[in-house]
Amino acid sequence: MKVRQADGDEAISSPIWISGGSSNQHPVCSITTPSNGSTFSAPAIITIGANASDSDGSVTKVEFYQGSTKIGEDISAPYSISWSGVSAGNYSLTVRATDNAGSTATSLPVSVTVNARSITVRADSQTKVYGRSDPELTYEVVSGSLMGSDTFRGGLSREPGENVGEYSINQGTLNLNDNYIITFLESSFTITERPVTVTAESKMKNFGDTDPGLTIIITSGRLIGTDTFHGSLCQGKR
Amino acid sequence: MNSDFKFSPSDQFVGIELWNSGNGFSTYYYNDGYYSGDNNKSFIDEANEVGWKLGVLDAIRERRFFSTLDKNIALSFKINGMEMGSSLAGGNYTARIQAVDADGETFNQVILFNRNHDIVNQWSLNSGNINVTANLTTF
Repeated sequence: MKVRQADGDEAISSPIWISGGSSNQHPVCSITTPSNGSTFSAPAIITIGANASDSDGSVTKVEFYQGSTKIGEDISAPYSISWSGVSAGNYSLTVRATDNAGSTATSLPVSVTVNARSITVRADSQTKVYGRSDPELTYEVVSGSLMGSDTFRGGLSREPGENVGEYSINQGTLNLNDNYIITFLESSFTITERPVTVTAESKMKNFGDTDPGLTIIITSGRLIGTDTFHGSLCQGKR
Repeated sequence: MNSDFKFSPSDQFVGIELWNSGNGFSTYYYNDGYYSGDNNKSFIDEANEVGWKLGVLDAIRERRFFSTLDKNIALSFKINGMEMGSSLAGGNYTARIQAVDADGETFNQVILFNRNHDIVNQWSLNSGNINVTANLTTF
């Protein structure tokens, strides 16, 4: 009997001798694939293969475990299962063989790692004219890919501000499930000046009178919100 | 308990540590050299003189030993109440495995082997105090 500590230290006892009883020999088994320390990309499909034999009978089934969770069984050689949809994480795999007398044996564990998939997303640059509504913030996958029916959740957002200038588009709530690691490339959101055409209104006065007030009218475009013109007109001789 | 002669024996003496010290087995606990200053006594001589003799002889006689990389591990392995080193007749068996580390280190695995060194059962855990019981229907 052996106990093992988290730091790797072990203690092994002397045996207990048993005489008589059942003469049945335990089956023996081991995992042949994957090898210890193997790595996969999520969501992974892992084919687990095993050898099992019984010196004084036959093997009736081989059960496959991840930790203490049974993930499948096979009743005939070559013993194997396909473990699919495996999420990112570290796993300890074992197999348990049962012989025709009901005796069982468990293999040494095999550790495997399923890594999250890398995917890079870049925001599309966007522009708008001052005062208009924001366009939809879009993105594209520039490296990596989604598996199966996986889809993005959430959406992008941008640095707040409505004045003319350049703002950053950030990841916001855009995300994927834990099987992915997202690298996000920011882009710019540009607010451009709003074109407004104004025309000075014609004025006249009689010689010697005071100049009338100089006024304008907007002939195309419009002002936004409480925006107003600054400064004043001046006259010149035509 | 396991002892390297640096601590007092407790209620159960199942083995003595003979070689250790770090990773290199550089200290021989049963023999610290024959220094005239202690009348050429070895560690085991000194242990015997303070009353450990019966416990050590019992452990040897009953074949109750365990090897360990951590001197603080106390280990008990019984089948049908009989401690490691025992001989049992055939029948139904209940194994009980207990272990504790005085430093509070955690155990993460217990493995039970048969005479062919095949794994009969194993447990993954995360505990500083092992207390595992298993019914062994065939062996």
